[in-house]
Amino acid sequence: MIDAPSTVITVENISKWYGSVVAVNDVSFSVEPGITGLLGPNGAGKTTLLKMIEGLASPSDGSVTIFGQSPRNNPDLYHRVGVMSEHEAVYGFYTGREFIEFSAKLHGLSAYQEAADLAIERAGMTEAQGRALGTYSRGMRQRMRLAAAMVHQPEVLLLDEPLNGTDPRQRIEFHDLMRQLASDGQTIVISSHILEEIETLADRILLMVSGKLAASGDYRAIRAKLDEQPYNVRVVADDPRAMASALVELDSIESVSVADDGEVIVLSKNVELLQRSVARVARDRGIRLLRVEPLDESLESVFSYIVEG
Amino acid sequence: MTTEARGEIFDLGYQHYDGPREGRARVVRSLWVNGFRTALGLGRGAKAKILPLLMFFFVTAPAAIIVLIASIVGPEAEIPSHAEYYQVVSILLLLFSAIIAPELLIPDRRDGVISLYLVRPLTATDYIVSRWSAFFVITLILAYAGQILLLLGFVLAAEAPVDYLRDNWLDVPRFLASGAVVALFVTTIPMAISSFTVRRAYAAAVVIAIFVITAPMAGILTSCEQRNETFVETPGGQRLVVSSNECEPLTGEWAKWFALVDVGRAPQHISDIIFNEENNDDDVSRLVGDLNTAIPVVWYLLLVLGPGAALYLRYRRMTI
Repeated sequence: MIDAPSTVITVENISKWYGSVVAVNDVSFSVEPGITGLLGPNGAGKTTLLKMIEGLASPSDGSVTIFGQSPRNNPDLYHRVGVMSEHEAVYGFYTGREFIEFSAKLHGLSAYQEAADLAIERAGMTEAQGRALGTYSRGMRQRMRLAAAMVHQPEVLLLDEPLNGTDPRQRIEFHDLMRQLASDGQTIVISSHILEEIETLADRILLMVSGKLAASGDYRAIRAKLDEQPYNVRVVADDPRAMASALVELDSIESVSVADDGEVIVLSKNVELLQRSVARVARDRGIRLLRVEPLDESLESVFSYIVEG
Repeated sequence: MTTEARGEIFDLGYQHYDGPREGRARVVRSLWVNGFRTALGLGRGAKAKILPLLMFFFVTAPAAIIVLIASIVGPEAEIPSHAEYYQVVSILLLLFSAIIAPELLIPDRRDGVISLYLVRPLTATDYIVSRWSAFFVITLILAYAGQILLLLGFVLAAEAPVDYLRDNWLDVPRFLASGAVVALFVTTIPMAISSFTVRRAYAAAVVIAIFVITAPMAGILTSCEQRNETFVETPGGQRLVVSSNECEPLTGEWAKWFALVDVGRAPQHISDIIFNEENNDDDVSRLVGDLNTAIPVVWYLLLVLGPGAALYLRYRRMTI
């Protein structure tokens, strides 16, 4: 029998502002064991939100609890929580092993060498452990920082952009490790501004846009909602008016407009079908097609649909 | 027909740490050791050790030279007292602290490494207390090293070393207490200043500037209008000064208070009190000596506790 997952992290109506700038605006959610992806473009408020969950910053309003306790000024809670912060700085003169051993000592682990061995092995850094951190590539440094975050085998792992600088092979290994930890019952929150990094990894995602929680839940369900939204496509042709009148007859089109500079902006729910149709229409009407490009491929645009929709 | 999504997690054979987990005392101790090693450049390349070693050399060199002279010249050697030694070495210690103390705090904040500490089971107060105490122990060792060498010099220079030790044993607790006073002072002020900037050079410059500026300020504020001097007239009608007493400062009675403006001398005044020495070497020391004993003590405590409180509050309220 599988027990119903219990809430580990609770965020209630949390806000954070710096003077007149609102970094996080009235966000509420809860996190259960497993992998939760915190997604959002740069500047969306992910790091500020994570810092409040980590206890490194106090909320201006609202509350955060981990295992029912406030993380702020609660050092004992860090025995159960591992944090990999956004700051990539480490002491460059330490070897990777010294860094992990020091992290283990900072968690009060007497058998720090044994703990370091396990963490380094898990991060796949056994071979490079004797080298100074200053000589590591960015991806290697990230993996050592991950090892430092989990050296005390915490129940909760909070990872801010852990995949920055990692190569595809390292990402696969990272995915395997995260899945293994999650299957052990750990609660893992991973932030990223790149959807592809965690879409196949996270059980649940939280989408942040402009300091607000734009969506949460299973990635596929959110994707399906996103698919219902129309996308903008720019079509540049030698005869924009003829192109616009031809496109408006297509089923896949919601609306067509011609901008002052002659570009045709098409709103469509089925971009793939549009891309196929527009070439055929141009050929049939003898219009010279110069460029077709979607305007909404960036993650920011996807999120803006969620917010504005 | 519907297909059910399937997945499987494979056990990669990772082991779990089952060893003992200790409390905060262990964590603070690790942090203290890290601070001690960082200040001295231990565990780092040769370049990181040069400056601490040079400073260590300069701080202990005066005592080493004195011992050398004493061992060569013998009882006739004029060796400075323990109190006089602190007058010389406290300036060097201050210079050492101005350069080394920022190394302990500023890189951690500037590079964001401090977040590594603050997500461990320790508080910001644990962090700053560990850092402060690590550096305090270093300055204490430096202060005591010179005094121990000096004591050795005195013993070597004495005709009867055992008798010397019996007659002067009180110097030992005195220089231990004085050394603590000097170390407390040269640790706290540079560390407090370092907590408000992210540039090591700025911190060092501000510390040195405070002491460089306040010394001439006190000199001007306590400068003499005239000195009470006794003359004798030679048969040739020439006037010779045979004694010079206290001066009459321009600022009158206030000069005693203005003498305290020389911040860098604050621990020396306490050292003079501890050694029960009347320091008539200069006007500032003489004027402070005229004040009630409690006043330089309170002034010293203010100069240590004020920056100490600022340092504590700066870190207690720290948000990354």
